[in-house]
Order: sequence, then C-alpha cells, then structure tokens
Amino acid sequence: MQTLTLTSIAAGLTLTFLVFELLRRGFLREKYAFVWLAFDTFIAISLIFPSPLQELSAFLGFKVFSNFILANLVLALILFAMQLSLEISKLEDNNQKLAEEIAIINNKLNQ
Amino acid sequence: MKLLVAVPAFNEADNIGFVLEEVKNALPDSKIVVIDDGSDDDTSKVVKDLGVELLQLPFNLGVGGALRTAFKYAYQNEFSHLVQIDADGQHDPTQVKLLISGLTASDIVIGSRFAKDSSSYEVGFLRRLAMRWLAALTSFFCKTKLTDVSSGFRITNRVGIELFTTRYPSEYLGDTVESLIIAHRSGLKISEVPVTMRERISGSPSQNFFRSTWYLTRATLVILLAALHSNPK
Repeated sequence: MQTLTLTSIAAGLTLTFLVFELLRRGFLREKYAFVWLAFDTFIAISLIFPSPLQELSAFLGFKVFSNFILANLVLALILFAMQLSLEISKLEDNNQKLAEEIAIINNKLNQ
Repeated sequence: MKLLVAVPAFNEADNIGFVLEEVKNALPDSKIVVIDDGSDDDTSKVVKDLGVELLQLPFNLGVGGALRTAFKYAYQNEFSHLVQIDADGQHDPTQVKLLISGLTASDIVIGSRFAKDSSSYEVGFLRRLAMRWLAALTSFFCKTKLTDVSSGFRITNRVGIELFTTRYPSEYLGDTVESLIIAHRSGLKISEVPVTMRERISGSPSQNFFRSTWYLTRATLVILLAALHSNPK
C-alpha cells in the first residue's frame, strides 16, 4: 500500500472518531452525524477499493482520477451546506413563532 | 366594529408618546396595542406609562414579525378589524375613517400617498421611481390598480386577520408587497384610498439613495417569488 493511502485512511479514521465522539458527548444530533458518517464510509471504501471508482471516473469522461474525487467532494459539501441552510431557515421560523407567542403570553400574564 | 390599532415600534421612544396620544384622541372606541420589536431604548416604558397595551417581543423580528404578532393577538381577542399605524408619526389617525370607508367593497384597504386625490408627498426621484415600479408590478399580480404598495397604513378585516395569523410574511418587504400578493392569491379583495402622510416627527427616514436602489432590487425579487410560489404560504 502506498504511503498516501495510509495517511488518507488515518485521516478518515480521525474524522470518524471525531463524529462518534461529538455524538457520544451529545454535541451533535444523529441526523447530521448520519450524513458525515455516510461521507466517511464512501471515502473509506473508495480508498481501499479504488478500481471501480476509477472505472466510473473514466466512464464519466474524467481524464484525471483525482479531479473526479475533487468534483464529488465539492458537490457533497455544497449539498451539505444547503441542508444546513434549510435547517437554519426552519429554526428561524420556529424561533420567530416562539417570540410571537412569548409576547402574547407575557401580555396576558401582566393583565 | 371592534377595531384594534396595531403600532409596531422599534426604538421609537421619542415619537411614540405623541403618536399614541393622537390615536387615543382620534379613535377613542378602539383598542391600541404597541408591538415593541426588541427596542433598546425606552419605547416599552413610554407605552406602559401611557397605559397602552404592550406586546413585548424578546428580540428584533422586523416589521413583518411584529405585525404577525399583532394579527395573532387580534385573532385571539376576536377583533373584527386591525389597522396598522406607524410609530414614527407619519400616519394621521384621524384618517383611519377614510380607510374604514373603503372596507365596503374589500378586505384590505391601503392608505395611498399617490392615489389620484392624495395631496403631494415629497419623495426623492429615485425612490419615487422605485415605488412606481413596485406598485405596477404588484398591481399586475394582484389584478387591482394600486399606487402605493409600500404604505404601512392599512386596515384589514376579520378574513384578512385570520389569514395573516399564519401566513404573514416576516422577511424583508414581506409586510408590505408580499402580504398583498398572498392576500390576493387567497381570494381577498384589496383596494386603496387616498391619504395624506406627514414627515416623520423626529429621526431620519430609513431610506436614502443606496437603500432605494437596494430596496428596488430586493422588492422585485420578493414580488416575483411571491407570485410564483407554488402554494401561497
């Protein structure tokens, strides 16, 4: 195995460990952890068995395999950022509803 | 008519006392409620000292959020109509009767600064242009001739109150143009009556040259989005 493969696997394991640790301490919700773990697993598999991916890459017209990996990474990050934006929108919405209810309830209490 | 006068206020301690006294005098049979949108100044203290009902938001939500709170309050307390009046003294509460007179044929009546019989209201050229464009665009989507869609001087009947309790947009400009499109798409009738607005009593208006341009761009986007929304939210 190449040194690069070993370092990559080490980096992947560190990331997985980080996700597990955050989950264990209750800092991260499972629904987000799931995305990250799926991401991790995909990277691990592609590192250990690169040949099917290399074939896919060539089939899709990528001349350099690393470009294929990078393109996928960027796409995954964009999707993840989008998911976070959606979650934030939902949170802001809920936040606002709570603020409105608090104002009305406070008004009732002070009567 | 059980009328609620909703006054959204954000850091208006200097103006609100005067505005509330004026509303009390002009509309003695109505109930006034101030929505303090997380002000840092003494707005809420002034309101309490005057013995006016206060809805205190824990942090700033913007005009849309403040108004939605007022609509919820109006709905829960069974008011038949809600009239919005700005806390900066621009709107003359004695003209609310003009808004009321427009209610016979519609659910929402807007007090327009630019309708045929309004007396002149001074605005900068660019801002005027922006307002015309917004009015034209909104009129097109609402299938009603409107000349002043950004006016915050409006009355809404019970049907509108019920709709806006859940569907009042809270985002930028939602409280003015987007709410009209939502109302139209929910089958409500909108009309306008000419009114006269005054200069702000104190403080500077929130519009300047750059803001006007920015306002125009965002407003156009807001209107298009509202008109294209798959289900009126």
